[in-house]
Amino acid sequence: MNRWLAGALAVVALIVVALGVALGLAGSPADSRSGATTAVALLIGIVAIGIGLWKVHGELESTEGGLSVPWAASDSFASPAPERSDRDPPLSSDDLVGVLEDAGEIARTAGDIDAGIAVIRPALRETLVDALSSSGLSRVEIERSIDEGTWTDDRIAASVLSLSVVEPDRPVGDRLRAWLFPEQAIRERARRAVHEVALAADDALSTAPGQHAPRTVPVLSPRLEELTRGVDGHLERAVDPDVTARGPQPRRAQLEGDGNRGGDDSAASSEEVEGDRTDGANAIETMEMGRLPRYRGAVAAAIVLVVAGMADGSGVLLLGALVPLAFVAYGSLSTVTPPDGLAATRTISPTPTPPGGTVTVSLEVTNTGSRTLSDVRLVDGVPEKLAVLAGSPRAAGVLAPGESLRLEYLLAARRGEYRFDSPQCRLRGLGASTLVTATLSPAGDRRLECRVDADAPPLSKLGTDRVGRMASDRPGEGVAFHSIREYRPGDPADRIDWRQYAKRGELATVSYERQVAATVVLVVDARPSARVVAGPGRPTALELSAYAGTRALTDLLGRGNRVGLAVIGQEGPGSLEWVAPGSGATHRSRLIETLRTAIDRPDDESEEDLASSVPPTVSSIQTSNWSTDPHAGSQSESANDGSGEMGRGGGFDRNRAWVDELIERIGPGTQLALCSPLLDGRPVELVERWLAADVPVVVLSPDVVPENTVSGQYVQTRRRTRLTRCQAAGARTVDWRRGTPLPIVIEYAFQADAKAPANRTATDSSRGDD
Amino acid sequence: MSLVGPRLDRPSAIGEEGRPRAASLRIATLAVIVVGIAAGTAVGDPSIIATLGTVAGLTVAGLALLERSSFVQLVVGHAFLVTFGSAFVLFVLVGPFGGRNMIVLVGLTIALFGMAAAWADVDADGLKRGGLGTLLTFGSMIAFGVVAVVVAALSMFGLGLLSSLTGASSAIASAGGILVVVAVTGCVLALSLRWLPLRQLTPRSKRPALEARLDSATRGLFGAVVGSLLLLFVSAMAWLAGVFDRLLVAVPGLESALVALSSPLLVWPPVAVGGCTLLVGLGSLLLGRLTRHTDQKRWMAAVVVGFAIVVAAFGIALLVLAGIITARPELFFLPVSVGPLAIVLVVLGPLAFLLLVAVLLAGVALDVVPNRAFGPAIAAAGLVVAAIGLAGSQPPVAVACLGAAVVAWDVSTYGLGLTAELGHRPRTRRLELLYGLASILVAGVVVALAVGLEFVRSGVFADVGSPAAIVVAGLGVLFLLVPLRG
Repeated sequence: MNRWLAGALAVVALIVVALGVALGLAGSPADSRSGATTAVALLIGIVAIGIGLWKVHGELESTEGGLSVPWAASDSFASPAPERSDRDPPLSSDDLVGVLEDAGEIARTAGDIDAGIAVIRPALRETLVDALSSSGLSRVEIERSIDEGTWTDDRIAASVLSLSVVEPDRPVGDRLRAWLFPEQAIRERARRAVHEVALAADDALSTAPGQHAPRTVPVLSPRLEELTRGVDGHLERAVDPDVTARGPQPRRAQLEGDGNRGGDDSAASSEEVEGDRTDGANAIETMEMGRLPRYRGAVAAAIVLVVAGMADGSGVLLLGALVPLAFVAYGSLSTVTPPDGLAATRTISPTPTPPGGTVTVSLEVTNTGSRTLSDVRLVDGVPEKLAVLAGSPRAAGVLAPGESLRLEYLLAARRGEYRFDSPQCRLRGLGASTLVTATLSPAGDRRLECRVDADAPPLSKLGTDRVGRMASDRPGEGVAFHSIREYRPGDPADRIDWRQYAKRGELATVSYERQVAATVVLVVDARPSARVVAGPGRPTALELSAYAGTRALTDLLGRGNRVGLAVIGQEGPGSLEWVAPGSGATHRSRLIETLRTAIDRPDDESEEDLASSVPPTVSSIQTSNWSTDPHAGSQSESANDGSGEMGRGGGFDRNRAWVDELIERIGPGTQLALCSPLLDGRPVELVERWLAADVPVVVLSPDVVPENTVSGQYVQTRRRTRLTRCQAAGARTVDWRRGTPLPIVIEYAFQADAKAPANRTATDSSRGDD
Repeated sequence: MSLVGPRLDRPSAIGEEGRPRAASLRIATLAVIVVGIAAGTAVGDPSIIATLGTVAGLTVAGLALLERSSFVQLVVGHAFLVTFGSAFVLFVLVGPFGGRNMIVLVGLTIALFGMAAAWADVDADGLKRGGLGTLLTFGSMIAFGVVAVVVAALSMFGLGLLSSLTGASSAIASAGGILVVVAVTGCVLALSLRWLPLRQLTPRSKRPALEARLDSATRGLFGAVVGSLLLLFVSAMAWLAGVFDRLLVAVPGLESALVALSSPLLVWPPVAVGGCTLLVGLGSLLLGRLTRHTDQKRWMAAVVVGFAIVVAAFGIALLVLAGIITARPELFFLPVSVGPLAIVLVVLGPLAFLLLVAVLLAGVALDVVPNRAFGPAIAAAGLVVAAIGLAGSQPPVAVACLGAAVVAWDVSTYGLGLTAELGHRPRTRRLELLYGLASILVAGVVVALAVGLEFVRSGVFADVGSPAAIVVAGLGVLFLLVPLRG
């Protein structure tokens, strides 16, 4: 309203009030209400109700030209929530979800849960057969055991995998529920069956090194947004019972403006690097003041009271209108003074960090001014793509001069460079109607750098080690004692065993364990099936593979070996991205750059490969030759992981091309180190073919499969079966357990290697000697 | 944690979408309860707030439970809405016509409902859900009632037909009638056997035997239907050709035997079995359709509640009927005494609830009622209503009610702001207590001032003032309020 008009209205109002007071003083309380008075009061009342509605009309959330209330979508403070992260990458553990949903639908349509069980049976049965056959049992025996249901004590699970096993009788309540809600019955049976299959597989499958390494990084701790408050107020998983197959799913809050968080924070431009650390004491960048429309309802209440007072002839209600109006005045008079000094410091530790670890972020804001800040609210600018695992990036408190407010939280590291937004700080006066929103420029860290070579030594330190530090069991030059042989003319004098000569007068020559240089080609699986995550905000399997590859190549180059790189799933000059074996710092940087490119490059797989990354559906399972489906790599492998999958047109061609090209490119004596999550059967097929071509292979498999869901447990069993198959084929395997730092896994792998039979070590060494 | 009992809202761990922070809500609730007790004392019953709080609280519990996924909780939620929700709304709508004290109680009930809604984080979506659920419960109740009446009418009609059949004296009518009964019953049974989930509800170990029996039963029914139709056709032909009459004459005792076929002992059992089986088969078919998608669980729960009410009503009606027939007053005394109230509650209550929900939703849609701050706004509005009711009799309590109204709104929205900005994790109790204390202090001072002025007005200036003066003064105040921003 125009200020002049408001002023004029106020003057008129005061005059009318004065007139009313005068009338009151002049009149008598015994005056009875006349008809005219009643009519006027009625008219005024109607108008006043209109005014009251006008006062409260309009969303509190969107006041034009002013600040919004804090819960409005248009309020930019802490919106969207810094704890929420994007959900772009597909999850690693969804393979069985589509099957279970289709099974439920079929059970519903057929009116019989057996029809639905028939849909999930082939997948679970093949999983069990694959797992048990790894223990040396014949497929015929396994099939018979499954048919008879003797593989488990759980008759319900047994009946899921075999038609000939009759499910035990269940209580009438269960039968009624199964009839009314067959989808639930299917999920419940699938859960039990998958659990039993996983238990049986645990017994049958051999343990891969690293599988039981201790976990130091929280993996089962869900992200904050995956939790909800239970009836007793404690935190619990936000389980959506409709999607048990998918596992606990968060009930995502539907807030307007959600998802609009500014852009992609990863891969910050190089210009931004300059602002990595600041040391300014005055942290306030920008400041915005405003007043919240919190008491419109109070004005409306005052109007209602006045009207009621007029209608009732009650002076109490007229006086009562003072109460809400007092709060309007309180809100108006209460102000907040902009802070004269706020210092902020943020620490991000560790940075740079490798993918998969946890990063601790702390932010401390200190009141460096001379006034007490009565209501301070602080929110850190967490990058959108990073998941908050624990703690809270928000805090609130009262800050006396010199006092600090500190918040600390944990993030899951994903590869990339993430620039933290400026923290926001909001201050209110005692009345909370006026507020100041300040953007802070914190000292300390502003970026989190998550690199695959984060814990590798700097380039300059490479190449200083002596070439050929890999010990073999052959005699030759080296450091470690190997044997003593008869002296031959021409043997260097420093290798003659002078002590023996002194004792016996015979010349003998000392041989040492011969030290050689190895040629290793790292093979990184960069297919779409490796671009999956264990959960939103977590690193992809490809990122972890690249990190493991970087660690390995750095270590190998440091020991003087020659290292090459092949990235499968990428279109290089041939059918794969290839960097020939070499050594030196320049070569290392080229290798690392190739790995970075592999991570950053979008999928350029053929449609056939993309199709293979899609979880199986009922149509693919119900067909008689479903095992030849492009996705059969995750469905049926014991019989056809090799030969069966080779029957797949496109997959066969691509695999053969990779195998042939790699074998053509690598020289004799070269070892292969495959980094793959093993989420389908194709890597196993590659390993078997390489081993058949007499190429030693080491498999390092990063685990990105959470086992806390039905489908996740199923996928994990398939993965472990593949790992065992690689072992059985003759490859060394390392299971990089989820939540375990890579160095610990490697240490476990070394320990396992030390305990391995000597003949295998000798064989491998002899292969490396050539 | 909640104030009392399990918490009804389900925010995420971040919680920025949830209810106001708990300390703020506790302060607001305390303010409402204190003035509620004072107002109850003023109207003569200090403990009335417990009764009102129970009704309002269980209404909100019904609304909140509709957000759950458990079928039992959904059924309980709908049942609460139809019973306590109806009682709450009827009281709120009818109460103001009962005098000033009733206005006070209505205001308090609304305030308690608002506070409960704030605790349970009920907003427009929750109201909409509750409205739809109540509509469905009411609709299904009416539909089931109509179906029950139609079925009863059809049954009466069928009974008439069957009575005329059983009373048939001619041999051809008797034979034709029993053949029709057998054919129709056979068809109904065959159809019902397809609809009934006999196989699904039978233990696995007994399914093969059941399936064998079902096969033989189906074959038997088919044979009975075809046989009876053939016999009917042959009998009709024979009767038209006059052979039937000659046969009756030729075979002594045949007519008596045929007439005996329409005896009630032979007709009623198959009719009863067919009718019951048809009802159960149709019911199971309906249940199967309703549970087709899990999303429909919520609506199915509403239908179940409607069905349960109809069944209960029919049960009570039968009880009354039995009491009247057997002349036992104890059987119908209680239903007859509380029946009208129950009928009003169940029939008019849901309609009134829908009306109230529609008004509130319209208010939200027109931006007159805030959406997320729905609970605090309703609580404050209720206390203002209570204050209006108390103004004539207890001015200090009326002014205290107004103070509590503003405190409830002020502190609750402060807590809501904290929730929106910080979520549920950071510790904010110190801030909330500080703010709540300041708010209560301001309210206390203003209430004391207003009460003091009222004493002065009613004491020193008791002899002055007139309705016209109040109208004029009020008009002036309104002019003053127009340019005021909130």
